[in-house]
Amino acid sequence: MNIRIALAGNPNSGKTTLFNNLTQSNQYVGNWPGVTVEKKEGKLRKHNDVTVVDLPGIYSLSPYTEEEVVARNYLLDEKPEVIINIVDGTNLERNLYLSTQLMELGIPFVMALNMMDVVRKNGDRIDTKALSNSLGCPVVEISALRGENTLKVAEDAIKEAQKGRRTPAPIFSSNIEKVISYIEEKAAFKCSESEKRWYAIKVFEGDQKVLEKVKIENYALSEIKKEVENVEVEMDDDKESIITNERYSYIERVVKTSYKKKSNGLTVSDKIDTIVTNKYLALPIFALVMWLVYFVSVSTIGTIFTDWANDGVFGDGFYLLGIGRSAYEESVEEYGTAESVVNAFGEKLGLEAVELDEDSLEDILLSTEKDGVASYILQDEETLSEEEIEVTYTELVESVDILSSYNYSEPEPEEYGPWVPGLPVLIGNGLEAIGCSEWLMGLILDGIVAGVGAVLGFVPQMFVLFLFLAVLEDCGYMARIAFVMDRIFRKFGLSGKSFIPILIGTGCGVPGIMASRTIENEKDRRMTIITTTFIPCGAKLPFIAMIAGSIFGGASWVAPTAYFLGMFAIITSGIILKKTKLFSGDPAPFVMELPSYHTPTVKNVLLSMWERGWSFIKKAGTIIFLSTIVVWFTSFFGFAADGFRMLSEEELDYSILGRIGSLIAWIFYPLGWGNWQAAVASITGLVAKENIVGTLGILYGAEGSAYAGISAAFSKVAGLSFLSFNLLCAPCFAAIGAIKREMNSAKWTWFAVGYQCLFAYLVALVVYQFGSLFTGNVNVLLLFVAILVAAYFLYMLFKKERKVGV
Amino acid sequence: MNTLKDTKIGETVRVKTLMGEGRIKRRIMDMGITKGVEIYVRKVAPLGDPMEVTVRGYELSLRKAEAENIVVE
Amino acid sequence: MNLSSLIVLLILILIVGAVVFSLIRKKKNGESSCSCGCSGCGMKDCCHKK
Repeated sequence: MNIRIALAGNPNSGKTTLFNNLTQSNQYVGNWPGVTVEKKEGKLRKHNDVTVVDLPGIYSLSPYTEEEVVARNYLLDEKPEVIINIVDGTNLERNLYLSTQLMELGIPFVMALNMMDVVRKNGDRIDTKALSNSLGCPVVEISALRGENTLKVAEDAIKEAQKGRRTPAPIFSSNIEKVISYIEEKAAFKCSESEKRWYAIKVFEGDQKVLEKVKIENYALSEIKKEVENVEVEMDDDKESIITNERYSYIERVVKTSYKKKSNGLTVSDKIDTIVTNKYLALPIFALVMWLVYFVSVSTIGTIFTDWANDGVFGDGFYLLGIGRSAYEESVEEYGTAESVVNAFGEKLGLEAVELDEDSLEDILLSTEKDGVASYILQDEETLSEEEIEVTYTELVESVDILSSYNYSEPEPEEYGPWVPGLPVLIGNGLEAIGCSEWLMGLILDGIVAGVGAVLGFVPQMFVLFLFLAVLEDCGYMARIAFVMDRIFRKFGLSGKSFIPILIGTGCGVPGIMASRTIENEKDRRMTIITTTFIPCGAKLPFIAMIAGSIFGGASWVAPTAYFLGMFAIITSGIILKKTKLFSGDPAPFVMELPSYHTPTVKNVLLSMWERGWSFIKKAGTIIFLSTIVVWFTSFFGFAADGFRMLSEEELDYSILGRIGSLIAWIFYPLGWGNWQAAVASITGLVAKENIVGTLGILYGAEGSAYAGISAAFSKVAGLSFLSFNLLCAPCFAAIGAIKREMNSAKWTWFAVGYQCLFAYLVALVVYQFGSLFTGNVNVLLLFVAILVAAYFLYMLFKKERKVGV
Repeated sequence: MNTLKDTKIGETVRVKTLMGEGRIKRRIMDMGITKGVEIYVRKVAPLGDPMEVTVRGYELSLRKAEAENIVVE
Repeated sequence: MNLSSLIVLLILILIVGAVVFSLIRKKKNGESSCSCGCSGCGMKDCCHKK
């Protein structure tokens, strides 16, 4: 017999943990039909004929939110064989509120009482037998986290399912029960006996969605209405509130017999909370946490691993555990200096190039006078600053000795420790060994390995960021952030809940946009969706790092600036949009549970980090892999003077990509980077933002180091403008898709994307034109336009808000 | 008429009625704030809004604008 | 073009084909091509609660 178990419960009740435990790896994730709510299904472990369906986490079965409607429609229309209701034992009363509604459905019902270990630790007592007796359903104590009793609750559920459906018990006070039986009788529902009660209660509440569905005849409806109105007058309350009140009164009676709270002493969670959301400490702690997350993931640990991945795995190679690296680097420097000295004297003697062998060095020594001096230019690798260094004959003699001690050839990395060559080297050697043709090697090395490698190189950094986000999410701090930040965000026309999408958006814009669903007010939600992707997402990190490294010599202020720019864009957009007709209105409600703090479990955090990181890698392996091939082909093939053919590296201007880029590059001329490479990179960024890095790598890397090529092509001001535009403009297609789903309207999607692009363009314009004032490259007309834009921007920012209702 | 908004930090009050209607009222009630329930005002966010209360043994955050609709004894 | 180049090219085409095929199949199954599903997210409950 095929059995479907529906898993229902409040948010934060451990439902997801229980689901993962019950189904192990046997899961399928999709969407509920017609809505964006995620639907998860899985086969129960050890029971191949039992499916577990994870319903969205909800507090009630009201008709007001998508999640609640999805859950109740599934329960009513699909009729699962049994419900497992997971209940958080530490928060019994509110959790039972959903249970009273689930039990009304007439579906066999088992309660899984979770977090009993915490209840006992707090010194509280729950009498499971008494609870089971008063509710009239099996109650099983479980610990979803430790996997205790989880399979037992599922097996109990299967037993219940085999017993079949039953009619739910009355729980309300007698005058209301009377009206409910009256409705059951009058309305003549076309449903099974066990479901009648649920429909009757919903009709009593005046639930619009149910009334449309059951189609009660007019005369019966008006009589029902009269009865309900009588009760409303009698109890001096509206019908929906009467039912809610009745449920909670019932729960109070149940809890009184089965639950004993020890005392009102402060729990650990309370103690943490008094510090973390303290009047004076909350904001400094918040700033510290944010700083720590980005300092660690972007600039310290993240960078160490990213450098290793970029220069080692996807570069020349690396030393295992760093053994021998310093010795090798010392030798390389010694050899390089000696070579420079010898070259300097050689140049002085008028030699074109110095052959590094015993004879020619002997010649230089003999022809140089004992008191002769020479000089060479030393360039700093990072800042590219140059310094002239004078050297004497003594140093020449030393240098010749050094070169001879190295046998006149550069030190080989293998001789200094366990050297692991990088992937490009290995693949290159391999392809050369089998005699692969040159163009194919170009495609594989310069196209695929360089492009995908540039993206994969940032995987370690993403993992560190995802790890932090997972910890913040798992320990309960995220909800506190919304609590602390609400006042500020409301000033910008957003809600404290907008901070969560933005914070998640630092990882990836797509879940960020989806997280905006917590915001009930449509205007606030739309605003959050439009502004969320302004914050640099994880995929933009590589791009920021690349611009910082190539144009700004690795300056540490670039990455924080990018985040400040994002915040600036969000805040000003919020203020400005709020003043337009589209967004003016009352603020959204902010009724939110603040879940207890708990130590994040290693398993949950690692799982969350791994899932996100792995999907990033998968993306690099699919979408980015394909894009790099396309970019390579379109940039190395094109119509030269003698027709369509493969181009050499000096002819990339003729390529297909170059032509397309040239066609649109003029658009970006006012921003200071009207070259086709930058234009093309911005377009490929729409596929995935990591692509900007890959594309720039291919386009500028053709003639040597990509960093050198980029720094030659962009002035500092143009680089800043390029960075601003690409950080703020329309996000990748995946995020635009998410915007489309969440907005549920093509018009709003176009508005969002259009607004983002326009905003990005204007910011970049102002940055470049004002920046040019300092570098002295002023274009009077464009500067005038930039001043106009800035002035209008300030006007909108400080204009009085439109009165609501006018 | 006292509302939850005016209740001082550290005070415990009993809910008399809820004003307003529709989804916001339903949401507040779904979260356990019903007639006769005791609410303990825990704290107010550092910037003065929203507030954190303990109701039915758990922590709930709501804005002062919403607390204004909750009449207490 | 020599034989080994041909083999390498063939392998490459096979990989590209497999990638495209998997993307199409995913699309058909209604799985989003988005890289970051909500499934592993601890805040999932927060996004999907109301």
